[in-house]
Amino acid sequence: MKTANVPKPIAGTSGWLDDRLGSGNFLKRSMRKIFPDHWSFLLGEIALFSFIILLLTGTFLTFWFKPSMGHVIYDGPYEPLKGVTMSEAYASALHISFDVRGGLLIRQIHHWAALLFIASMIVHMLRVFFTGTYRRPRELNWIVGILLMTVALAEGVTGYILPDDLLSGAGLRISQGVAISLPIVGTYIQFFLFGGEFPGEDIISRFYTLHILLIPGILLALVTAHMTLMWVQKHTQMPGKGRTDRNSVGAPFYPAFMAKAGAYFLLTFAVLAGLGTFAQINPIWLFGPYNPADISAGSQPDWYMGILDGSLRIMPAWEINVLGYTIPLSVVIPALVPLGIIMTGLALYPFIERWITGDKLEHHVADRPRNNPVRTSIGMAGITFYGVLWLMGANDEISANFHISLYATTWFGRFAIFIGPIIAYIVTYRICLGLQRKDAEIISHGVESGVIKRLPHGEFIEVHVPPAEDIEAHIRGKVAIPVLASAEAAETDGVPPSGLRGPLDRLRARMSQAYGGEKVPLDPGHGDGHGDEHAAVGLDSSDDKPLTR
Amino acid sequence: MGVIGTPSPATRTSLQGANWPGGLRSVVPEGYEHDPTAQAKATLILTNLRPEELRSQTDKHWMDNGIVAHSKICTHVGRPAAPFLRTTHHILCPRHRSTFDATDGAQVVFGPTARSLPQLPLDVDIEGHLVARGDLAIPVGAGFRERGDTEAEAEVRNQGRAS
Repeated sequence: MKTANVPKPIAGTSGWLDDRLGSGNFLKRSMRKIFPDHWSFLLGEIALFSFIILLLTGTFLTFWFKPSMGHVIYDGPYEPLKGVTMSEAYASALHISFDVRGGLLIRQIHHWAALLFIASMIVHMLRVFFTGTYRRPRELNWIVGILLMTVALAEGVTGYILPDDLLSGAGLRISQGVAISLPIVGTYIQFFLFGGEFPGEDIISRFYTLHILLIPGILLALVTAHMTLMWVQKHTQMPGKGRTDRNSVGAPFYPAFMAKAGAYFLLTFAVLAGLGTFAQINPIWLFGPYNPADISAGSQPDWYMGILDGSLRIMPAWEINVLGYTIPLSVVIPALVPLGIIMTGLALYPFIERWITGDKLEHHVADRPRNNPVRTSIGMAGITFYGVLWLMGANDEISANFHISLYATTWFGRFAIFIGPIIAYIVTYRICLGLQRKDAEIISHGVESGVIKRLPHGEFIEVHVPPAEDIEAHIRGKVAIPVLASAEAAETDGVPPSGLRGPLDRLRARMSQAYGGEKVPLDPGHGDGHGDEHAAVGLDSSDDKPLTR
Repeated sequence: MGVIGTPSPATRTSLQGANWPGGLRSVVPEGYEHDPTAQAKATLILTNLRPEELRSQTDKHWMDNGIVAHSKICTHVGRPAAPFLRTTHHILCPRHRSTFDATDGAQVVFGPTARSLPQLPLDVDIEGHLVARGDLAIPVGAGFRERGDTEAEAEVRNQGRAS
């Protein structure tokens, strides 16, 4: 990177530090690191900022929380629970909520931040997926991200259990029921985790250690790896004027991006503090202490666990006995398969895509989602799959609020989980092609100018003008998706080449053909808005009407 | 037979002053009110229905005038199954929607679980307290590897006893 044009104040300070830290000219270079500009590039930062807020608020909570399942009789300021036997953990959570100054606020911010942390990670992940920026050289960082998400879910679950109220105990019981159902290892895991029978006396203190020490440590390590890799690999950018795979167009870290990120942190914090102040979350004093014999209707997990609850709900009953051993498939399948498909599919996607397209090049310019319709459609099918399960996690609420039979919602879910993704795939594919056609139309016909012109024979037409330069560059940033050479060869001469002999090779070639290629080519010439002539739009379908009449 | 599921001694609960025909009660064995580990497996639901409403899957040797005891621990993943639909006599697990028919041995009528809620042999002692005549014959709660087909084994034992 060029360091010649570093402003003097930075060059001086960072040079001083660089000299003493033996970091070469790292700071000097990094202060001028370029951050491309696009709103969607800031989604991951919400996750980072939420994580920082989680660490700070979580530390505050540890000052008063007692991770113990010892019995105490409540004698605090909350009247309805006076004299009730409860665990020390729950009593201390009540103490934080009612006695510690600012305790309830911090607890609520912590909970909201946890919800936002996972939500922003997922949205950030979707952004990376749909723009294809997991491609070479970023596959490893993509996997680090998937790991982060998985570990964050574990962090969420362990934290959810800690207050030991009725709702969190319910979540714990489900975790235990799922753990014990696992084939072969189930009972061992349950006894190891709980130190005996459910709930025993250890689980809160064990989850506490996991929640405040081990898992945050792993998260911190992974976040560091994620950021370092991102820093080293530079940033991707949206296609546009003068943007290529070899450059990075944007604002420098100092001062522009630093100010932006700083303000953005404050904004994130303001939103979370606002939520913590005005939006009640997890009012544990209303739920009462955990008691394995009690339950309340309408109990829901935190949103990120809704998918597991939904899949457990819509699974039909199925339990088999093999050689005297029970396999509770109606627990094992919904607990492992949906999340397994999603997480494994995400982790492998860069490699599968590369296998199908044979694309070995480096990519630093992001794809617009419409320009890779198969990927976008697969993504939307995945979102639908997740969404149906997530919705089914709240089917009791749907049933109660919309007066639909509970069993009808379950049956809907059982079918929608298979049909929904297929519909989503087809619809998304059509929308992507439609948007590509719109792009092609803008390039070849220009955009409507609002000027109406009367032709000599009396006809009125609207004059089209060429699109603005940056819009055209943005559209023309589309690159045809590579297709395997062997697949193309097979199509042209009809003789299968050597790389296309086995059934797997043929499948690969067929997938490559479907996945890659240019579905709607852009007009190569300059889009000059052909005025009143109606040039062919360059579309393959015959039903396209002339666009100016 | 080893004790699976419920702690001894027998379940005792007083019904004096209770007015709950057609309803459902949740009970915990006497002396275990503050023991979560016992509650996690020994909690019961008592349903009080008219004896003629009860059907074949309910073991009628184990009831008292329409009062039947089943494990409250859902056979899906072990959540307590509590809400009772009075019109249909269905017991519902509020978390994952497993539904059991209280009139017919708590058989599964809907939802993800495959097994009915085990029935506890119920009796009345000399003072009029409901007591358990023995333990639950099959494990409560979620399925796990080692449980095997205990329903079939219990069935065999039952037949042996009847003949």
